[in-house]
Amino acid sequence: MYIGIIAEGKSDLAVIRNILRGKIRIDSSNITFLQPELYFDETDLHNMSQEQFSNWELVKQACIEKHKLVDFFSVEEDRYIILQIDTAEAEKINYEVERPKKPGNPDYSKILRNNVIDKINEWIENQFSEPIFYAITIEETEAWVLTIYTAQERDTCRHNDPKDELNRVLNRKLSKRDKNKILKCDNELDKFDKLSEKFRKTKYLVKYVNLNESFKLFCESLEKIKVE
Amino acid sequence: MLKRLTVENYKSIHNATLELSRINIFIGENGCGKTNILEALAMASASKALELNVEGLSNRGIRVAKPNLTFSSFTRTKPKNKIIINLEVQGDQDAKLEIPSILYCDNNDDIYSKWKDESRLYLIDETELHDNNDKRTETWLVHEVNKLTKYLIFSLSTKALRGISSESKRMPLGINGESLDILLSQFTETEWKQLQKYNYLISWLEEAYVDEKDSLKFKGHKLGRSHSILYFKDKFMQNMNNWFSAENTNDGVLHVWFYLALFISQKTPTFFAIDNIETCLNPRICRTLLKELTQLAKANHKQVLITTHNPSVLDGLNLHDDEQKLFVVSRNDEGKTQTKPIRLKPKSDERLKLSEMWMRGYLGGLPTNF
Repeated sequence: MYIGIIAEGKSDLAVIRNILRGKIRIDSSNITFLQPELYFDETDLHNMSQEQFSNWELVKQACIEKHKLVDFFSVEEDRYIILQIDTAEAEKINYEVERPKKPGNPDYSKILRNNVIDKINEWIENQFSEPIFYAITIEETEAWVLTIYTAQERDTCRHNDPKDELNRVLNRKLSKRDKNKILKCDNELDKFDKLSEKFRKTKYLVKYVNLNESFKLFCESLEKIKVE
Repeated sequence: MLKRLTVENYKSIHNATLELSRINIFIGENGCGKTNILEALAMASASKALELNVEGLSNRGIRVAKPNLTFSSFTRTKPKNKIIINLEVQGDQDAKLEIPSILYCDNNDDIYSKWKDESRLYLIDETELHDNNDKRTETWLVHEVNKLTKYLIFSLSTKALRGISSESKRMPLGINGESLDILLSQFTETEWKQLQKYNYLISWLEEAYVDEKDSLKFKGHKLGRSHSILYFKDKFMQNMNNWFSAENTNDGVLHVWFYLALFISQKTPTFFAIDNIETCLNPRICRTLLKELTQLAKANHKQVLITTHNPSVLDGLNLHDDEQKLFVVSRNDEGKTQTKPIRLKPKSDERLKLSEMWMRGYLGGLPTNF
């Protein structure tokens, strides 16, 4: 079995990898990063900002072009692709996903997730019979990571700026040593790998998914994967 | 031909089984255990040749360490004091032979400790096998074990190819590139003709020449630090001033010529490994060289295991040919080496070269931690 992840950024890759390890007990050597890893060389990156090589538009582009998916599936093996996209900018031009009413709506995450999945399938023109899974992070992947650190029992998707909330909680919760070790780490992949390493353990993961509906729905969808 | 290799408890290989073919390419990140796979075979080779001493191991290309560092050592795994290497070779008409090696040492902390093999199969001489107190003389069995005992890991260095260093005394070719000139001087006319067909791989090369009397040395063609008598003629330079000694010529031509000689000669091993075949070679040469070496391996009945870090080597590989295989080597979350053969779907819409598939992460074999 081999799983490829197409994600918005490196931090998302790290979190999804840890979730896969905890949820389906897959070894990380059977997970590969298809995007944004190795997409640009250093000459390209010289003239680009972080946002240009790490955002939902690149995920959309990969879906529309389809090459990455076709080429990844061309190897004879049980292969799966995880497409990660967040919903913070769902209303923007070119994304254009209808956002349901949020306050007091228990089905908010479910409806929004389904709307985004429909949009992705529109982009890939429903062309693949191979298994594709959708990591729709509402509103950002940080909301999923927040489930590890929050003291509250409510859905972490309620925060309009999960990045900011995660930073606030971490600054309060982490020891000085961990703050220096993790938060000041320049490598986003490494930083979020450490921040979300508890997802690798099934016993913790089952607890954390209850604190974010979109996280829970993604994990439930992974139950279709046949574990060797 | 070796069809299946099983290795247990050797360095980073906790337990791995590989179904091999004629040409076997191994890719994977640095330190994933590619060379350990080649070395495990060299351990079996040394055992069946009754050369399980430090010289017998290092002469085959093994990086010798004390036994405690040669056995697998993983946190949360109880260490074992035996290495098990099992080879399944297939002769003509599907006849099969298992060649087991169960290797241990009396003193696991002594780097000079002589290894021993619990299995009772080894080569007595070139015509007879000892097998559990029996003697076996079936030609194909003896032939297969003979092939194994001559197995080497070639890992070329430019100094050895130039004839400046000569650490390996292996004949006819040293494992670092030694003695190329001597082997070429022994080439038959047919072998020379075969070799010259590949002059095209080096765009400036007119021809190669072995100066058996070493007379060019006295005409200022080299300082004489090298004892190689191999010369290459540059097609763009003026006559009489266009011969380059192995001491002075570029690295690429020496590497290419070494590999060609290794695959063409009837005197070189028929079963061997090459570690980092891409060293000093242009990407396009890597691709074409692998394609040509594959044809030579088929014609001259060679079986080879090759490691590489250069994606373009993969472009010379035809994965729709059963005689060519690609393995991705990696270490799992516990650090244990694992291997995976790559097969493409027969009618895939894939439009990328294998090199690009590797670089884009579709095959694995890349670091993912940065």
